[in-house]
Amino acid sequence: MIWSIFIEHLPVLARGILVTILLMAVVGTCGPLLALPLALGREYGPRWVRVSVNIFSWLMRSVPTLVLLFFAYFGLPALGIFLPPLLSAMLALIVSAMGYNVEFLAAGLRAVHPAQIESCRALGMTRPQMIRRVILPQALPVSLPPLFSNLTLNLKGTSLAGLVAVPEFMATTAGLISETYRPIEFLLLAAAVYLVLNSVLIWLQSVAERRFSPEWRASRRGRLAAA
Amino acid sequence: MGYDFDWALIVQIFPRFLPAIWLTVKVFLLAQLLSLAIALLFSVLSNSLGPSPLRRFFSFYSWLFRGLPELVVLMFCFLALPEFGLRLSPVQSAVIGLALVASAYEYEVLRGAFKAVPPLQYEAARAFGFTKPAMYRRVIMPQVLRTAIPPLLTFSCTSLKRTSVASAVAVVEIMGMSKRLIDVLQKPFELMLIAMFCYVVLSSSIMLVEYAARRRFAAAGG
Repeated sequence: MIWSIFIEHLPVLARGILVTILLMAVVGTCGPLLALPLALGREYGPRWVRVSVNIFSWLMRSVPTLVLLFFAYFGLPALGIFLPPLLSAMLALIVSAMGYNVEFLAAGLRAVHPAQIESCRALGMTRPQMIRRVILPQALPVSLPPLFSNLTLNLKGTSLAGLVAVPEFMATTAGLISETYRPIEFLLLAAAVYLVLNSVLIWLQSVAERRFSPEWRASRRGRLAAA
Repeated sequence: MGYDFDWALIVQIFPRFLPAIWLTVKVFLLAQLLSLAIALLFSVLSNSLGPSPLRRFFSFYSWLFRGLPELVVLMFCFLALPEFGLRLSPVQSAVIGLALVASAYEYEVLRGAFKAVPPLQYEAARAFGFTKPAMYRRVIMPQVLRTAIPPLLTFSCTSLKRTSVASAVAVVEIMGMSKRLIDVLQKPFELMLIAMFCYVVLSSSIMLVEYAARRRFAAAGG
């Protein structure tokens, strides 16, 4: 095995890693943010919203991410929508992540005790007030762990974007393998990079869960009261 | 829109997909069998041995294969194993790679299910004079499987979708077939609709089985 080839190809590899991180950051933030209104619509909206969100979530959960990527890459131009590969891949990954995110967020919303909703109504809160002040602060901490596990799956999903002409890390790796005929070194490097990125996500999860925990919020309230 | 939809093409081309659908089902089932065997072996060993280096190896295995993208694992089986003198056909390397990834998730599910069995059950089985194999077969496993089967079915749906990645290592399953036909026919929209339809039908049938299993085990448990 020759390890010096990594240094030789360092700029290309670094660019690939940056594109992967960019994809993951965009998918990781847009996925849950766009899924939240859908989850709220499914739990509190009118019947037609419920049915259409259910159909959307079922379709997105039953079709592989790779199929959605191909659909966005080949199918959208057929409909007259021309997007650069990076954008169409982002779109497919976000939509694919949303199918699961809707379920996790809806489960968190359902975990809020019904008595809480009744008390809000008794106190005369409007529905937006109730959702913002009472439901979400309790629902989000419940949804957080599964949302983050899904994020690690999304990170692995970004490697598929390389198959539809997005120059992310896995595409760079595959390109360098066919250029240098050194599959073992480059695949071991890819494995190491993805494991490091995943570990960063898991660390972020522990930070986020701590920030959302009742103890941390209580201590912050204490500090604010003291100041 | 400068694209004329050719709905007749969908009907016309669908028979070409039948061997690809069969290959998807075959790869999925083989990978599922292999991964369940690995996961069962690992979880039973890890449960009956207690803390040991072997158990640390199992956690490392599970961390590794849950952390790696399936594409990396498949490409490793396809490109790197031949360098070590292990020649595999594309389908074989896909089955092994998919099984490695799936077994890591299934190991975690089974490990959790083993934890859910109260320790009293082991003590009671010992008090009744069960041998260790008999205890596992008659007392522990029935309880473990009852907890584990619904989540295992959820993961098998994910595994089914993961087989689409095998198209990247030259396996002509549903996704590989649609890629080839897109190149030939230049009708991406219709072909991707066929692929979507196939996957929706396949994964929905697993979802239905899961729904039935959940209801059945919930009734039996309550």
